Amino acid sequence: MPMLAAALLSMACGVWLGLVRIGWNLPLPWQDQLGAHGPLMVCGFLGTLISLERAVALGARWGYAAPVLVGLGAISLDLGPLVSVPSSSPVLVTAGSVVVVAIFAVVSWRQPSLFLLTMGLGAVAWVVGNAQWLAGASIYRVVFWWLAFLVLTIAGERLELNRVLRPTAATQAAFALAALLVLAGVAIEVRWPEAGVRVVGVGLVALTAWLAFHDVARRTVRQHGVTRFMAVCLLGGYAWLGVGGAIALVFAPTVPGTLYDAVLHTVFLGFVMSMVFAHAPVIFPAIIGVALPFRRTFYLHAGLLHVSVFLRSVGDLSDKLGQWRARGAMLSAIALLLFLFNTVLSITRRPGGAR
Amino acid sequence: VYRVEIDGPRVRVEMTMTSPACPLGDYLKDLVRSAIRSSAPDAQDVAVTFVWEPRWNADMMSEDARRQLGAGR
Repeated sequence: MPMLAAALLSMACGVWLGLVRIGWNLPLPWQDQLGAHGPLMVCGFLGTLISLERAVALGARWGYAAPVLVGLGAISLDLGPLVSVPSSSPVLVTAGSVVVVAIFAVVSWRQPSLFLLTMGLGAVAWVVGNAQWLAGASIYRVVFWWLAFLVLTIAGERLELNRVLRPTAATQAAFALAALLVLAGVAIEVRWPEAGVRVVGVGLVALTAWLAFHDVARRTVRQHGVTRFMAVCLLGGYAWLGVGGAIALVFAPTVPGTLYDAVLHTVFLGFVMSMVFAHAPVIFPAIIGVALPFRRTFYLHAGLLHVSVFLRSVGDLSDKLGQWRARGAMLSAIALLLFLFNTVLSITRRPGGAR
Repeated sequence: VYRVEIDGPRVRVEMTMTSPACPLGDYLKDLVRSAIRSSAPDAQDVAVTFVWEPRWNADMMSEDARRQLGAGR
């Protein structure tokens, strides 16, 4: 619970800073913290949640060092200068991410497989990004490593589920190639930024094609209730992954700007956040032991998220419609609030309350 | 589910999951325990353990699961 609170606080702070960065005139409690937007969203919010998920899965006490360290790093980012050691968060987050890699080493030892390797390599990419952040690198040099972390984590999960369809060796090889392209891209980007971002773009487009063609969501979208909701979120997210990949491939934005904004937010908001929405109904029972019964109103926050990412992307890509960027960002923030609202409503309105 | 052992009021269940990295383990154990208690109220001591051998594979799915996922034969 405290770790979940750290993650949610990071999301709130991160979204607030994001809105200020994009031009909304909101108050800032202290100066020089705008750069914390990315670390808060990727490490503070998603990093804490993913570490927590891995620790729960491992089931051993030492595994909880990961979410505790990352969560403490998140809190120190949230509170900024209020905590005494200003540079402590990169240290804590990096240490926590190393524990996540160790968790993957242990579970892969239990049952080696391509999907665990993919997720484990995603965690390694997180460590590499965090280490550069710790060494003082600019966020735009680190962020593609973080992108690889989230994309490979999610792609690995989808490959795991794909086993119910008995994938052939060729299907698995195609997946491995796409995942390797993403990793190769972030590695190349260290030395040759433009070429690296283009390779990442090719990898993202290849992964999108794989997911669109092989993922079970294509079949489960014909089901009803929560199964269909999840499939709709998944397929919508894949579309944004493809858009982000295509922009990276064509324009290769390596430094902050509108196209850079478009790549990062189609992937992080359009793809990753859509995955979060999709999995919330099954992940909440696992992490906090509370059921999250599906309600049709879940489509409201999911739909709003996709509309908001569309507006932002149009604003990013078109000079004339540049104002859409900030409006889209505000709508994304509202979609996240609505997601939290719907989640709380679903838990509290349940007959019998908590399990 | 690989094995169910009943010895008076004691029930032992051995089961697996599709992935050792899945965080739903404890939740599934709870569901199994409450399912056993609701259909066999006399079961006082229910122990559920996960085992990783043999590995799960797609042939272990029920017809119903196959149909739901559109997996076919």
